[in-house]
Amino acid sequence: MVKIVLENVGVEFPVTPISSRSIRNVVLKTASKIGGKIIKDDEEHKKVRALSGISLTLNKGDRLALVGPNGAGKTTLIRTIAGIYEPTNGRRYVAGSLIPMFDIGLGLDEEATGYENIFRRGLILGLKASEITKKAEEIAEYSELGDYLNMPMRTYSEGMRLRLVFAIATALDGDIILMDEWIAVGDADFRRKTHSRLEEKTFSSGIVVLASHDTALLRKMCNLGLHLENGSVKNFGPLEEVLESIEAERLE
Amino acid sequence: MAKILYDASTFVKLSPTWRALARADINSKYRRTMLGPWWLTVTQGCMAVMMALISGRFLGAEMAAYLPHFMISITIWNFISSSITESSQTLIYAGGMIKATNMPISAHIMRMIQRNFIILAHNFAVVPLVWLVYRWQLGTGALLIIPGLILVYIFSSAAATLVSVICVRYRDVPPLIQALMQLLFFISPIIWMPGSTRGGHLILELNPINYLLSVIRDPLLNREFDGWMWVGAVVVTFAAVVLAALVYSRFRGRVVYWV
Repeated sequence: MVKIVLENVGVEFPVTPISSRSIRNVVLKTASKIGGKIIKDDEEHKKVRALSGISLTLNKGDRLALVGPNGAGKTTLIRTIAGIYEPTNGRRYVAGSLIPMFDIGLGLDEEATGYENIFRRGLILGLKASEITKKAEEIAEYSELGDYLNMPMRTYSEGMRLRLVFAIATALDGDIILMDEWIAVGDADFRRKTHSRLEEKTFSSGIVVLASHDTALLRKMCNLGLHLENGSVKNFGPLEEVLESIEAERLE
Repeated sequence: MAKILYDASTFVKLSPTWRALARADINSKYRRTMLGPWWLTVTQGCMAVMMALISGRFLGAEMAAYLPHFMISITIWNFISSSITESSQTLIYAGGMIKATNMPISAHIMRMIQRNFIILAHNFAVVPLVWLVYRWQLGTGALLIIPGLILVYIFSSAAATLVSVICVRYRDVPPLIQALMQLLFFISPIIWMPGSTRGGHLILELNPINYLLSVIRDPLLNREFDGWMWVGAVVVTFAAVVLAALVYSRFRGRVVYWV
């Protein structure tokens, strides 16, 4: 079963001021309270309400686009779905294997070979060794790096590194794939290749959630849209409707 | 409660992951070197030879008792102390992964512990060499080092968990931890032998490291079985696990905001 359910989810970030990051200050403050003196606590513990009242249900076959201005909460929401942020209130329920593709260059070791880095990325994404070996050939072929895969990554050019990282990123599939903004990188040709490969892959997975500003890409990949503003849902429904309502607003 | 169970289940499922990452870390660190990770054994062996030459001058015939004691104690101590000292930075370094992947926090800590455990295994390879020189009696009691090692591993994992969560929240704690480790080094029977002190027995009784060292060292050196050492080690480990579990379960969701 593949499903994502969010019920009235809210996420609050505690903003810990510098002074409370020091245990010495905490001890002194507590000690001064015992003495009865009033010390002005000029830095309060603030909280940022990043998300509030988010409710949605996604089933197999749903491909959701997260749209909204910068700071609306798209990254927070996608990471909450991934389980990185725990909801401060509300309920999160996810069924199925989850591949969070946020920082696709994470965990790479410059001294290790291309093949070894494929293995490392796979491990970090939670795949088992046998699963990674199965994918490795396919990734190697797609990256077109040939023998360079046996050389340490520090010998690669930027373009080669990009090819390898994207080859790994677009090769992995699971029940749920979450992608945050990274696929708008590279020249036009490269983007085209990557996007078409992603299309092949996403058709085989269960649920896709994609946060991006690239509306052309979203139109190709997604069928549902969620418009976020200031941490709340402004609109949720078929992608075309959501995008049109945003356009209509802009023209007002 | 459900969250703890989820963490525990992913912990077990992911154990091949953090073990493989630990091995990859070690390989990466010793890449392009002549001996690879076996440099650890060589440097440990060099220290053994130097200690033998230097303290041989002061202790004479007592070397046969002192050097094995010292080598085994310092090897175990290095595991415990580097696990705890490193743990003060582990979650801070893992910040990128904590914010971008949904691996449970414990996986990052266990990767560090496993890495130190691999180093321990390489360092321990010097002990048979020391035995070849000093040939002390080995009995079947030596098998007790297996439960001893398990206890030390669990204790270090628990202590590392506790320290790493505290340090990611209060950023001025790491130097305190280092100072504490240095203090523990001197009040633990590592560079001095337990019988040779003239006082301060209370410190020895209250020092958790004392018990943890004994449960591995005494079986290996064929010393008489001292039940109290085992009781002490179990109590110390249990206390560490309880404290770590309390802190971890309460704050695991907050670490991502502190990192």
